Amino acid sequence: MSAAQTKLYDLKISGSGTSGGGTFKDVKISGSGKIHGDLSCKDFHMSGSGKVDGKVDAEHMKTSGSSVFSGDIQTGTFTVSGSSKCNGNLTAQEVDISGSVKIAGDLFAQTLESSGACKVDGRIQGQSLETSGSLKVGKDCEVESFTSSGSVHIDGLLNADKIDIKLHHHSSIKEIGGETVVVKQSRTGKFFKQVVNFFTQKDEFLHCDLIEGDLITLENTKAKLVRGKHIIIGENCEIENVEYSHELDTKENAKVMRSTKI
Amino acid sequence: MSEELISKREVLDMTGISYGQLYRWKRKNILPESWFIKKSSFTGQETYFPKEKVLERIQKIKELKDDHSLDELSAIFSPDSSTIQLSGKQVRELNLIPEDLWNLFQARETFTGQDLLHGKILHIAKEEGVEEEALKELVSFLESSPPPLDYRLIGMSKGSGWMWMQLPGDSKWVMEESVKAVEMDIGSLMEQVNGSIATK
Repeated sequence: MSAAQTKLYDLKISGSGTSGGGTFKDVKISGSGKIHGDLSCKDFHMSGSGKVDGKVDAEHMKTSGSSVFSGDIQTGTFTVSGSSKCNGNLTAQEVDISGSVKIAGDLFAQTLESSGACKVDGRIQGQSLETSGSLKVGKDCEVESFTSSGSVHIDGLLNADKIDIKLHHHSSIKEIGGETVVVKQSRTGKFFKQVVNFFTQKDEFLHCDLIEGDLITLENTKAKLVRGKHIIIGENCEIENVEYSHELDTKENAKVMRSTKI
Repeated sequence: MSEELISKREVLDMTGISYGQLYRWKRKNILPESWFIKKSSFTGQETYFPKEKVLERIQKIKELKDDHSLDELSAIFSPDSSTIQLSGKQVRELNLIPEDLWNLFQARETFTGQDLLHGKILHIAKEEGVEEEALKELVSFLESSPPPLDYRLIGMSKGSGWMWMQLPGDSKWVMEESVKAVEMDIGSLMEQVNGSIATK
């Protein structure tokens, strides 16, 4: 934010309108609005359908309805209900999603809470991430704590101190690394889900190439290699290789093809 | 320039650190991304590290981690040289740039991390026997195109003059035997600079 000496004005578009970018106090778009150029403001509110052709630098952003940002976004808070698309990187203190968000670049956020659909083509970096919807990450996801109940697809490495995954849907994470890794199957609506899964031909497993950690507890996981100090392989797991340094506890109806103490 | 590699498991065995620590340090960039080298093995893929670098780094982290927070370590090991600002007085006190090289830096009030890095490079170059005139050329080369952290600086001399070039860290080069060559790893020099600031 530039420390402008001049008084800042608000920008309001209601109905349909276009405006150039610039520096404003508050920006409000309701209806259909288009902003050409970079925008810098305090509060950014959008309801209806809006498009910003440029970068946005704000303290608070709230969008409901459908919004498209063509450049990078830098903001304190980013709240989305509805659908929002950012074609650059999103950097924020807090991101709150109940709706659908697509980010073509990277997402940097201290806290990310999503109860909708969040798709990031690049990487995610931050402190804490909680998702109870669907999360898709194209590259690595690096946070201190990762909590999910829903469906997760990460094509890179999920790296967090504490990883807590409750499986509700088919999920896949290429690699997991951290201190404590817990993967549990959800206990809710099992019968109904079985029926749905039977018809959709989807299984309710987490698929991984590699899981590494100090304390690992798994259920419903199919992995090629699990490595750690203390490992519990719970029900419905199919693990090709386990390497453990302290203890391995394999429950009934868990398959471990080969295990090695190292 | 083929370095000896060491597998992740060997690193953990030899240093006694946990998976949690390893991944935490990776997240904080205390262990650089480029050191995690993927190679295929019978179980799929296995991660390897440049042996000397990683063992030395972990040793350093262990020494420092009781007195410094992870974020401080991150600042030491994944230098963002743009944030360093020191006055000439501080630089003198910390002896970051040797006295006899001061005249090569145009009078300036504050020194950035980049300046200190250049000072370090000049210091090494001088020890390698690079003459005053050639040092001046080197300064202007560094200032006109500051070397990136993942590059190496190569100096070559045959006779009295010196030639300098910057190469990406993983590139190989071969030199005729009669040429005197100096090689510096920019990233590790920057770490040394940061380390000497942080630990004083």
